[in-house]
Amino acid sequence: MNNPADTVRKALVELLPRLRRFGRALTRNQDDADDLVQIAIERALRHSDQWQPGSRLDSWIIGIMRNAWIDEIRARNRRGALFAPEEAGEHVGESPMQALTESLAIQDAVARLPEDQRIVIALVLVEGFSYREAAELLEIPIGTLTSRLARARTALQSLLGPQHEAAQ
Amino acid sequence: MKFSDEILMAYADGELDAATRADIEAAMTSDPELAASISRHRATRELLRRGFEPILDEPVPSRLLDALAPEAPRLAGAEVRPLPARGAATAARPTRRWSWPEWGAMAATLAVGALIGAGLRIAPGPLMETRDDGLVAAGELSRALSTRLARDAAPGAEIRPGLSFRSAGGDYCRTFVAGRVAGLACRDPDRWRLELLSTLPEAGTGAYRPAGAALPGVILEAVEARIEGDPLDAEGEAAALERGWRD
Repeated sequence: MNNPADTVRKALVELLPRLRRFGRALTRNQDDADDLVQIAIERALRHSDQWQPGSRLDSWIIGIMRNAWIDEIRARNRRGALFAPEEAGEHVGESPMQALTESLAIQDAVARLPEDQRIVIALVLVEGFSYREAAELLEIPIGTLTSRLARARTALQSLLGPQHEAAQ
Repeated sequence: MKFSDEILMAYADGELDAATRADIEAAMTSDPELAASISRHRATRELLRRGFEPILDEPVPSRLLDALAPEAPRLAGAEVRPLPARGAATAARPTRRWSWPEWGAMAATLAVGALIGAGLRIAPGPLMETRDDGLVAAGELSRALSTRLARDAAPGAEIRPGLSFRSAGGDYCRTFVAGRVAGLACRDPDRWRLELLSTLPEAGTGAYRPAGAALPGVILEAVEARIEGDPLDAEGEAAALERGWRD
């Protein structure tokens, strides 16, 4: 029963809340985020032999999610549907916690960032990856990562306004 | 300013080596703007963490848990006939909206594995157990089969017995619906032997079928293959239950 596929399966169950969070930071929309998680775990299970035991499973699956998201963006571009039109109140999830205006404002601000800045924010500030880990995951030089992160932060600071700056 | 904004950001994120850190800390004592920049970067980091944290506490949708459900145990001595791939696939993965190239190929391999986990809010483990000679009902499923009359099953109940009948061999058998799985169980002296499991046809996302809704064809065929006479009526069912499903 203790084959690698089962190990991956169990570990992925533990990671699901985090994967959903990462998906939400990436895709702006709860349904898209969960679709993305589902696609990534299906891929991961099919290719569980590619994960090296001992290496970080979270980086691996998040890399798969990121690739799946890039594929999806390309497919949408081809179809001419850049993003599904957002409906009013779309970001309001069922959880009462999520209705907290601060969380909503923050998630909305991230949603307004350009794609390349959004993923950097999602990896470093939301998921807590180090610069080096995030750069490896994105296959970009660490300097590129740092400058994107700095630009994204400046944009977020102006989107979120001065009332949030005092929050520490 | 001697330090770039990127360096100050990296300081706030704990990304700098000790020497650069010491340089910044020394400069900070005489430059309040430096300290303010760093604290702004820290505040943004903290805000982002907090902004997405509530998502961790949301319930995980069952379709994601289903996708990670372990493979179903092999059913020795039991007949397993999943519905045709299309039905099984939609029942098992109800709500994903994206089309995905590999999806078609996966549907065929999914059927049996998805069968047991599909749609059950109760974990599959407690509902069934493998024995040397096959699969038997356990936990809630066993209890429902032994003690619940079909007419008493609430429409939204997780496990609902359906038809009860005597088999040609003299055993009592009952069909049941559990989540999106339908099955047929027959009574051994001390347990319910699971003869057949099948996914229910798709009934809309998250919707449970009303009691008495049509059972999958494979289940009805299996009933027909085993039944002696007519199904038990409500009175006969109650009497059989009273006798513990024995003669």
